[in-house]
Amino acid sequence: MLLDLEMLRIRFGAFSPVDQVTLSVDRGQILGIVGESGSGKSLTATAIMGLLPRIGGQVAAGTIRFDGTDLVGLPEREMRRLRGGRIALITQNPMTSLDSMMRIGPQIDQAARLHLGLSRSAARARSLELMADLRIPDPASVYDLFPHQLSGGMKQRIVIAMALAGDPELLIADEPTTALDVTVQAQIVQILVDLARQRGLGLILITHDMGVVAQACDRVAVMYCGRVVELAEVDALFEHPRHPYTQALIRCIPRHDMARGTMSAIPGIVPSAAAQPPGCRFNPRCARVADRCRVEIPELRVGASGNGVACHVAEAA
Amino acid sequence: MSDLLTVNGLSRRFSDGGLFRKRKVFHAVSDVSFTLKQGEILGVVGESGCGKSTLARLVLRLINPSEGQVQFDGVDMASLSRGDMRRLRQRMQLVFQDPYSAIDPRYSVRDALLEPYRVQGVKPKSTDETVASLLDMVGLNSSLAQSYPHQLSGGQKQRVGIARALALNPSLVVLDEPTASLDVSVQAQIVALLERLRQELGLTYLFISHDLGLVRYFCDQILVMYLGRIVEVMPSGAAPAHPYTRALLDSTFEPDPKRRRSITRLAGEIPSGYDLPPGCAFANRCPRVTDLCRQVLPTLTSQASGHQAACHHPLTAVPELAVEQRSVA
Repeated sequence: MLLDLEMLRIRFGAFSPVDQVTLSVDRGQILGIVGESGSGKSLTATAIMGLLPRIGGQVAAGTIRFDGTDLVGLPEREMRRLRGGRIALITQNPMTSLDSMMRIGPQIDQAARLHLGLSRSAARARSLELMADLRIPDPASVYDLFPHQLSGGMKQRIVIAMALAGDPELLIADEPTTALDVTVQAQIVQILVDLARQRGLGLILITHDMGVVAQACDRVAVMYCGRVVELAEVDALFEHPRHPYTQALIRCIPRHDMARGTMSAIPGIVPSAAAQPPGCRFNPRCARVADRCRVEIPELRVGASGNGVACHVAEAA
Repeated sequence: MSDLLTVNGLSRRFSDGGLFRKRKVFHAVSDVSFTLKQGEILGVVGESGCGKSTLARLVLRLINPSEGQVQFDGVDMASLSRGDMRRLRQRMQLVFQDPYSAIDPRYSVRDALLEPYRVQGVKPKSTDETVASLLDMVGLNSSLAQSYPHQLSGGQKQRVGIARALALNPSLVVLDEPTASLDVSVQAQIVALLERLRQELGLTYLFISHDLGLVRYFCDQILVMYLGRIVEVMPSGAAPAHPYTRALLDSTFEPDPKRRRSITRLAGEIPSGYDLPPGCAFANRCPRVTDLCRQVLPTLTSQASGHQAACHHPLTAVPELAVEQRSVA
């Protein structure tokens, strides 16, 4: 396994907004992490990048194994060598990654110069090649532009080029297309899928969109309130979703072949980190809640297949 | 059912620059015509910059058109005096995309719900009862009346926004991306609420969205816009005739891994509304483009009953081509 998270718990002061997160991704594989706001999917990504201390959090328990090395407790110096190099992150808003005062090209060059030790001209050649790979028209002129001169979709391609410049083995894309138009969103997702397939990258695609998951991912981790509630192959997840939350989430996506009024909703709201219910965190919204669910937190049991579900009711069935 | 809203040749241009820079004209909405029948849900779908939000504001006359008319219940809005226009506004309301910024953070839910009455100078019979019944109508507990926006979740805020829009018993509600900033499970709740309210109160909706899947689920009739123009008018179950609508449909990610396709080939991005090409605005991205498209602007022509497309080479007109197109896509 390229990346293996086991029983990860993230703590901010008295709160543990992420707990018992177990998931893994291999080279050439696309893992989707899907969940609504507050499910802890971005915090999990932040933990893998070793950036929790910057936002006042820490890993309180569990391991993050990358290519055999546990990243938890790795000295910052070594983490810095991995970050932007063998592990890269793409965020939702491309402007969080781009420096608006700097021309596009040199920003892409940076990672290659820093992590691969390339000379200025070699880095430039590599950047132009990456831009061409990402189907950015006329790379040589775009190289000399400033970020504000590009459209949103083009900026996101530049951010992907920056992520690829350090020759990563693991790419984490955190809602990479949420801010983009539908037709552009489809282009970017296609680019990411192609990258994983052609370069053998491990790709973690974080999204709230079950459609993106169905179309792009191999395996899926469904998160709710900081926990992985279901881990499965994509086909199995959509054909036989086991956790009531997964089932409900799939049913509340509008499809054209549904008659109006037949789309079901999940009652209630996602509770805040400070107001978590006892027992299973989904129990107040769950249609199949049993007495046990209100007191005992179900654990994610991952079988030999690598699939698992954290639900008392689904396990009994 | 009678026509509640008739829009005829509506255009809006914005100009920019002037003093030191060359004056530039932005075509936000160009020559838009449609009718909306009482009790219908009309969806307007398109990507950013297609003019769908400008259209919403033109319909409500929150901004004035450069050309064209809007008739509401048979009355041309341009002919109304300020006072008459204000009274007419009671019958048409807008629900915003972002419930966070649509409600004044210093107003309690109660204040926000009573604001329309104050603005219109209408006195509700009993303020407490009015607030309670509005909250009840959108499925909120009446104890929330004293809460402030920051104490509410996004879904609750959007419910307050809807309750406020319905306070004065409007006929037409314009919904501008009402679920775009919400989680999917909450989006489904809001859509179900809108459906229930429409049936109970006999409302007519103009539903604006970038999500073709949602629009196809929720609306009777769909307008597809591209760079300020309507490129297709279709019944929601119909197969698209315009290549742009087809591309939009192919770009939506179906939540079914069994129906996976290599996602889309639509290249490029939307050109700027400042310098529109002379022909079809979609020509530079269209897989079916010919010289004709680059030179002559296509007009909306009928494809089937209730189905129009503005395209020189529509997809359903030539069945063989349509099939070939789909296998490429």
